[in-house]
Amino acid sequence: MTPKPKLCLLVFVLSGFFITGAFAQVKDTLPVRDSILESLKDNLLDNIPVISIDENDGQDGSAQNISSQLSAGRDPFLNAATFKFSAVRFRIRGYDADQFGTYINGVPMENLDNGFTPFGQWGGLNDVLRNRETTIGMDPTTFAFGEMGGLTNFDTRASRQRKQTSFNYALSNRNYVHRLMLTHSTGLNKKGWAFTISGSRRWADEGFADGTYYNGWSFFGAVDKRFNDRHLLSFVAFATPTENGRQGSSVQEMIDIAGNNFYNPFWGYQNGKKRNASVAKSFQPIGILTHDWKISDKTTLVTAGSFSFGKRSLSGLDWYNAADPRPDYYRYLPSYQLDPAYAAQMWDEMKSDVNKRQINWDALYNTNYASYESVYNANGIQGNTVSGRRSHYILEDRVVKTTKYNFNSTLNSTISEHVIVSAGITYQAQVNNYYKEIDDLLGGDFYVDINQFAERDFPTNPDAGQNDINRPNRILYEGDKFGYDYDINIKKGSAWLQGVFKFRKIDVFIATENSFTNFFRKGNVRPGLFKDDSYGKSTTHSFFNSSIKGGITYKIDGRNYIFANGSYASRAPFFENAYLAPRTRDFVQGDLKSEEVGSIEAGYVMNAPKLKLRATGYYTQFKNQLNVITFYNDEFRNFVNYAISNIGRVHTGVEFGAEAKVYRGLSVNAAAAVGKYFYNTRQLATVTADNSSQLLSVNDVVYSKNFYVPTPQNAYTIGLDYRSPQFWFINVNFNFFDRMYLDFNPVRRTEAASSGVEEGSALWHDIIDQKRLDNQYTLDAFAGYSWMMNRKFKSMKKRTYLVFNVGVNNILDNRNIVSGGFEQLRFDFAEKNTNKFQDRKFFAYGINYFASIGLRF
Amino acid sequence: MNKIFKLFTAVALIAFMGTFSACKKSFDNPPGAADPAIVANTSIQQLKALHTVAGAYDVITSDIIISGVVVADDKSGNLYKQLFIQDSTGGLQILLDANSLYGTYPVGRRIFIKCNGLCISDYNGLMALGVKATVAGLPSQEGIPGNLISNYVIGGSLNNPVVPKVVTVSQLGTNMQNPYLGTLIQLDGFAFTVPTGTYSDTSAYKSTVNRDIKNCSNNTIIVRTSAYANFAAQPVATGRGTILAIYTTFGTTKQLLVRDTTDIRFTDPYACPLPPGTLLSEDFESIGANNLTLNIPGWKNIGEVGNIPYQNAVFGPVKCAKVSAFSTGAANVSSWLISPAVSLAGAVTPKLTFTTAGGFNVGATTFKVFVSTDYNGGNTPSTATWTQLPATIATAPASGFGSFVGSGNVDLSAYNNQTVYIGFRYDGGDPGRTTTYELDDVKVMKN
Repeated sequence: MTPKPKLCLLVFVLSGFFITGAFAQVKDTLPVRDSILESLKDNLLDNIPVISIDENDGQDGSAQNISSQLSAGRDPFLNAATFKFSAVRFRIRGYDADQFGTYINGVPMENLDNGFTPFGQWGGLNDVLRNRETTIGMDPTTFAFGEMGGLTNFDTRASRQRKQTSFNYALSNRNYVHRLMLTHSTGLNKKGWAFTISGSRRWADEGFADGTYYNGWSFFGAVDKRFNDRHLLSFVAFATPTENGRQGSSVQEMIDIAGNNFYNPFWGYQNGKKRNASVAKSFQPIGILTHDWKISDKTTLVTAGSFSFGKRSLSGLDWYNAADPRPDYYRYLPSYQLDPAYAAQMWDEMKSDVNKRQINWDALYNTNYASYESVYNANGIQGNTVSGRRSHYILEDRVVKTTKYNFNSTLNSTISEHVIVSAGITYQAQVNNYYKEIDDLLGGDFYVDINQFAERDFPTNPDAGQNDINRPNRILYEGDKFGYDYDINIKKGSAWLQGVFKFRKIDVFIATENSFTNFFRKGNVRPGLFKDDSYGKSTTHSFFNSSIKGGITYKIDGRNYIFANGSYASRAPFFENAYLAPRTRDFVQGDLKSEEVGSIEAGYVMNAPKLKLRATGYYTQFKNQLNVITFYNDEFRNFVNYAISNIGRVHTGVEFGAEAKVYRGLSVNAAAAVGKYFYNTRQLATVTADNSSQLLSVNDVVYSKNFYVPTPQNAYTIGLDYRSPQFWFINVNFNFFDRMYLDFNPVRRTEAASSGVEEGSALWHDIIDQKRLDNQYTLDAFAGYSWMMNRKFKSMKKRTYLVFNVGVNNILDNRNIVSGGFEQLRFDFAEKNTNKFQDRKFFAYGINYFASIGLRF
Repeated sequence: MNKIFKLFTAVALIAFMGTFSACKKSFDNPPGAADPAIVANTSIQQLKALHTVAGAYDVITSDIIISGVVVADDKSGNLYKQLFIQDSTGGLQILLDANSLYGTYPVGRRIFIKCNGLCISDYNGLMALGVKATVAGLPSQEGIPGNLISNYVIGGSLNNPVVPKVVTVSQLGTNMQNPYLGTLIQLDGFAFTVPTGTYSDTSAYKSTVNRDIKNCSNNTIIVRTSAYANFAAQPVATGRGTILAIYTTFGTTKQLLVRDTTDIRFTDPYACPLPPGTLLSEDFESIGANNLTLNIPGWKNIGEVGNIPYQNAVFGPVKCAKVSAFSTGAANVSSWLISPAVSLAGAVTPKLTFTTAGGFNVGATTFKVFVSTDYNGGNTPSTATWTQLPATIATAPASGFGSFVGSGNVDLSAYNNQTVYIGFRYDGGDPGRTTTYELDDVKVMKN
């Protein structure tokens, strides 16, 4: 099934050269207004687990970690991929989030630093996000060149909202327990005005996992003014101030001790109250101004600009010359005991005493209470001594402040019956400011802006320990910035052109995009270890990139289509993957160049009244990708960065989705994603630590060939839908997931890790082999009923609906679904003990529900 | 109007939603440390008495509770995974398998230990309380596992003062039951025997280092410092005075552990107080290794011409100063060894004595002694006024060394009530004037 790479290239080249005439693809890219079922599923999605993938995440633009890239339209496969496969963090075609784009009212929303879409910025605004246009794969769109995986454009403009008022309450047992949502849209009045406001609150004192909580507000306002038939000016603004206590992944040993797959190491009791150390906060309002200009009946120009600013943060414990406060630190686990008798005793102890497997806040406070210290030459003033309770433990906020401007203009023109031309220009600018801030001194009087590890490692260099030698020995109080402080500054300009050519039997399109990207880092502090490589502006790195794509569709008849698309793109590296250790210095990867992506897809679509079906095969190759992985290494007692280069990947497979009407309201749906996503190169790893000026290793070869990209390679679903003419429906689906793998630690696949171990021995396999996770299954059901109250209450003038929805996921309460996980990035090189730093895993929720009741009039 | 009213209502409703269950998190600070309602039923001395056979692992099976105040923690890094506590009867090392213990158990905190299930043993004579572990069939004493510590060790009040016991070296016994073992003690009048170098190993090997300290009665004892101590790379104190330390033993070797450098209060001058009537006394017994440049606190060692300073001379039991132009390649050598200022105030018939020896007599080399009242302490002594003193200087044999020869009493009466410097000057050159001279036992007496 899978074409050979060379063949693919040939097909691609052919498709590029032989496109001469042309068309518009038939697939469903028209705006879709959701049915009740879709809206219910949407609700489910915005309430899926918040999990910490590593210490440093939460930088994906949101306090809420929404895994799903797309919102499904009516494509049966997309529908399955988005809703049914979300429990195991299925990713379409195994692509990273940066391969999917999201637009709102014509402006791109993705973060320039990593290409991710900050879904959390519009979380809880489900009511106003119903109008959307979604494409999958490389299909052409009317609003952008597009990404490899697919594109979604939300149209939230006031005049596009259904004229109604809706009030909705939902109850769930996931991240949040309660949700209230209220939306009112006026529709367009005679004077050409339309207004929409929407707001929601989502909250939980405790979510599904112990110690988590949620408190989110969402606000949305939109106003439209239609000036005449030709001009529509729209403004929308929204904000979602959100705070939530998060769940962390943990090691199997702690999970076993706790007897709970949802063991959460982030919380502990303080004075008898549960306190979470990992609190994500986010407030990043956006305003978008859109001008829709119908230049003629055949030509439209949509111009939009957006401005977004705000701050998000993630809290965590920091400590100075003190014991590691994290309860699942490997030295605190029974397995660290050499004497099995003590291991057993410790196991019992930790099992019976919850405080021994959670953060001991009282002990942290008591340490700070007992710590009376003097800091000499405080604040850099010779002879200035500050004495008091110097905190050894603090709660810090790792803050990202973002300012983002986007400008986008898109022209669509139907030149003739056969030719539609689209073109656009985009300019994006983003500045992120990263720093740490003291959240809570935990009973101490002050903290000092010192890097204890550099201080320890360079005892004769008094500057080494200073986080900022411009302001040495700074005494810190709550709210003060400390540690690192730097800006990243990214600008991107692009232009694209697309021609769609339609004929009786054949539709063809071709599109190209050129872009220019540059970025630099600006250090706001001067760390003692990197005096000359941190403060001020770094070199500006610039990239010029081109992409081209094209496709052909053969219309067998009005219901059966065959299509093939191909694309080739070069992409500037993301800032996040370019800098080795941006917190302390401005060094970049040695081989900083654009990555290249080539992809082809081909498929068959059937759109018959009783049967909708799509089957697609695809083959995608990524070359020269870069990545920087950062994690806390307690050997260095600091962040260690693996800068990985020469990442090559192949993603190939088949997607299938079908929906068949069987009998009256009863239909069967089925979908499958059968793929193979793997690395096809030996990667190179360069290792740095934030507190060491040395490169710990340079271009170590990682024997990563044929390792799998960690998303389920295979996912299947089959289900039944029944839609009653009496305005209710029910849906049941059984889902199955196969060939899931744990994310792997690159340093375990180096020569150093396996040297001295007999090749082929059990230990050798244990070190080298990628861990495969057990196959999993879930059973989900949804039901809903829409009651038109006017039927009962004849006196009501307006059409008024009371809508009931309930969705239950994982009905069989399968609590062993590892929805993701990774090998710890440390490795015990000396003893080759693969259990010393155990894998960290997180689990999909057991049986969980989402029920709502809404009033619409 | 109607629309505006609806909008207003909607805004009001959204605001109303805010009144539902506010889950703003706020937390009280937990209470601070205080003594728990636990009473010790056994003294540390009584507990230690249970361990009678060196090397045995005595697991405690009764409900013994001891209490003590932490006298040493791991803050400086000199101790690792251990504390010392003491009560009025004695001190004890406590092994805990956790780091940064000082956060929870800082010096001055009273702690209570429920000993049932713990093990008391000794490491080469130093007793400790920990657990008995059996790993691969072999018993050993280990620290109480991290997550079990709170089952045995209960923290009490903070900042309890402990007054160190002032002792002499001879009081410190090495018997396991010696009451001073594991306690905070104080020794007075000590200085580092060699007051140069660092407290511990600064190399990558991170070896623990023993440094001798000595008092003026020539009692020595070891100060043992881990290379992981945060003061390992600091130069040792150069003065003399009081040292506070935990007294430990390794077999029959007495060892002191300091908590950090504030325990070493060597603020007096390095030199031992001189006996009555003695105004200057230097026997060169504190010098370092042979052939290194001589460095005596207070003395100036200046290779004014040729840059050939005096060196340490160590042969057999003898330690003295030496100087020679031999094989230096310096055609002209003029080297000074100058005493600290000596006040002759109130002296009656002050006199200088010293001894010299010579070796490998070559050419017209000279060794002379001078006195000056206007030397400014600088590195160009020839600019001061020096008066040669009549003293007997050894005559060097042509090969090998001669015996030490006394200088005879050199009269300094002419300088009564003045402050003088005694300067020894060597004049030679390589080749041709390379005789070696040695100098020892320099003394200035009041009478």
